[in-house]
Formats: sequence, structure tokens, C-alpha cells
Amino acid sequence: MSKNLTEIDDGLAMDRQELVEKYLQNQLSEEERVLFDRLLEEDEEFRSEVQFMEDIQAVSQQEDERIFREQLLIFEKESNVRRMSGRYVKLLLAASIALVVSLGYVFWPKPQESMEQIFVEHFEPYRNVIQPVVRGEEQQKSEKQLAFQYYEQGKYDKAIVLFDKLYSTSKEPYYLFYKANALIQLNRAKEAIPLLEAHLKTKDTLAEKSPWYLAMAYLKINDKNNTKKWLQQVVEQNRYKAQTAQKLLRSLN
Amino acid sequence: MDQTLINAFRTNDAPVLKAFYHSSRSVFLNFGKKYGLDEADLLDVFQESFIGFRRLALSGKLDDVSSSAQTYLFGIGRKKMYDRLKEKKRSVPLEPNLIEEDAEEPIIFVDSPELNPRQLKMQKHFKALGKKCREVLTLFYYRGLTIEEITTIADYSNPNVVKAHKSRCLKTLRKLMMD
Repeated sequence: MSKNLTEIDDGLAMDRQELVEKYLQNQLSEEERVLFDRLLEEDEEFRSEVQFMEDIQAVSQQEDERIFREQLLIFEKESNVRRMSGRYVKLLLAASIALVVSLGYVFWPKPQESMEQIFVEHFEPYRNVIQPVVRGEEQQKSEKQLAFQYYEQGKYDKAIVLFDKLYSTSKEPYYLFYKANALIQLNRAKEAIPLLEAHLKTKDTLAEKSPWYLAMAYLKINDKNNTKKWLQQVVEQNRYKAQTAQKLLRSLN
Repeated sequence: MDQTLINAFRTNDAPVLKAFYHSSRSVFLNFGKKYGLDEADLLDVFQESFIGFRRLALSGKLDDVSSSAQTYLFGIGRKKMYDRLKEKKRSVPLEPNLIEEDAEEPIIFVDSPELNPRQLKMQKHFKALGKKCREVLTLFYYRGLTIEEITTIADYSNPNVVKAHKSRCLKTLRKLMMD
């Protein structure tokens, strides 16, 4: 940046949002830094802009890490497969996958979306609406708070243990629903189905959403008929995600 | 440190990350066995360390570190393992490997920030934004990708579309926060 400070200050050279963004990405030049510090000191509006963007950074970090934890679970699944098979089998497997992939690339002009792809595009664990996650020392948190904190952080295996325990003492039906969501996320959709069916029979307010997640669970285990059956229910009874279900049905047919 | 790896964390280059994960994982679990943590605990420690490593990589704190990625990751792992053993109130073996720090390269571990009430409110609204909005904001503000990088990674037709989309998402979020 060769422009002098007053030019920048005119707001012509760079707008304030960009200045804050550069700050967040550690890319301020010397003179931008001086300007940044001065504005931070003198300008209330600028301060709140900085705060707003820092908040987005913190919030999106949580979201990003939740997704990354899920990715680690997938890596981990693969390492279990690796351990089971010998080196030779592994090589063969890799070679055949490479072959199939390259063949597919050449010969299948437009492969139909697989059930797995459709699943990945549509499934998202239902957000926590039960227990707001609060700041504080781990030790002081109740099991319920911890369970939902783990759930929000994507630590689904830990969340499941607590959901189980909490359900057995309180019998609150929503634990069935959240445990099922966590199970689907952990590739254990088969175990989620009976829980969702049980949850659907309760009077829980979230039961309105169970049919959609039943469809997602069946989608995950590649059971096309049952996926369609539950999607139809969602559409016919105009439940949660009815419009999406309608579109999905079309792409499955 | 290896910039290819650091960049792989920024762009979420799955094959590179997966290779790093698997090659470190087995060495770490082997190393950790002798300290008396069971495999589930060790794996948990390893994953937490891996995520901690990623946090540092994304914040640029590893750029000037001279040790190799795996050495640094294990440095975090040793620290976490030590903490875990203490947590379980076991006597921590006086194993120099576990507690001694490399004098030249202090190992840092950053926890995920706890959100304050204002941020929790934002989180609620953030989750209600569309998937694409959450993605563009995350890639830009947390991962620190440039508009050009986002164009490629998130499949946009050109940088202007990313810019426009990002400012629409910001506007929506701002509005939600004011209500």
C-alpha cells in the first residue's frame, strides 16, 4: 500500500469492512494497522463492527470444527477397515477402486446421484432446541447440559452415552430423538430406526420431525422402498421438510 | 513447517489430511500404550490433539515453527495425555518423554473458544442461515480463504458471485441480530 493515511481515511481507498477483514486475516500493512488502531480507539461504530466480525469468526469456528470432527470419524472408520485387511488385499482393493473410478470417469457420462450422495446433501442432525449450551466449568455442568454440549460439538459418541442414561431416568421422549440423530451421524442408522419409531408414537413436540429423520435413516442404509414410504408420509401429512421431501421423491423415482 | 499440509487444513484437502491422520495415528497409539490409557482414551486424546493442531495451522501460528508436523502434533498429544492421566487421578509416570518440552519450540494448545451470551445468540441465528451461507462465512472468516479460493472450493461460477453472496449473508445475519 503506497497510499497515505488520509487517502485511506477518506473511505475511498478501502471501506471499513475490508479493513476489519484484513485485520482478522492478519493481513494489515503497517499503515493500515495504525488506522485500524486509531479507529478502534475513537469510533464506536467501528468497534462494534470489529466485534460483529470477531463473533462470526468464533461462531463459524464452532461450526467448522463440528464438521471436521465428523470427517475424523470417517477417517477412523477407514482405519478400522485397513487394520482388518492385509497389505496385499489393501493394494488390490486400491487398484480396483482406481480402475472402477477411472472407468467410471470415462464411460459414465452422467452417473445418477447415489443414495449416499443424496443422504450427504440432505442429512443434518437436528439442532439442539432443548438445552442451551452455556459457558462454565465442565465440573459444574449437569449431565443434561454436557450431553447437549457434546451433541453440538459433534462429539456424538459421548453424547449418546449420556442420552441413554438421561432417558432411563427421566423418560423424556426427546432423548430418543436426539440419540437417533447422533446414531445416524455415526453411521449407525439401523439402530436409529426403532428409536425414531418409538419417538413418533410419543406426544413430544419434536415427533412432528421424526418421519423426516426416519426417511434419512433408511436413505443412509440404502433402503429405497422405506425411504420413499416415509418421504411420502412427510409430504402427505405436510410435516417438517415437506417441500424438500417432495423434491427428493422425484429424484428417487 | 510444511506449507502444503497447513494449506491442506485451510482448503480441507481430504486425501492429504487423511494420509497425515493415518500415518500419525498408528505411531501415536503405539507410543501411548505404555502409559496405561486404554485405546478409546488414547484415540480421543489423539483426535483432540489433531483438532488442536488444525486450530493452530488455521491461525497461522505454525507458519514459523521449524519442527516437523508430526513432531509438533505429538508434542500436543503428549501434553493432552499428561492432562488426561491427571484427570483420571492416576499417578503420572515420571517419563521424561511425556513432560519434557522441547526448549526451542514451546508447544501450544488452544482450546475451542467458549461462546459468550452474545455469540450464543448469534450461533442460534447462524444455524438458521442456509447451508451455503454458513459455508461462505466459515470459509472466509474462520478458514481465512480468499474470495478466489472460495470460488473454486465451493463451486461458485465467479468471484463476484461469492462477494455478493457473502454480503447478502452478512446482511441477513446483521438483521437477525438486531431483532
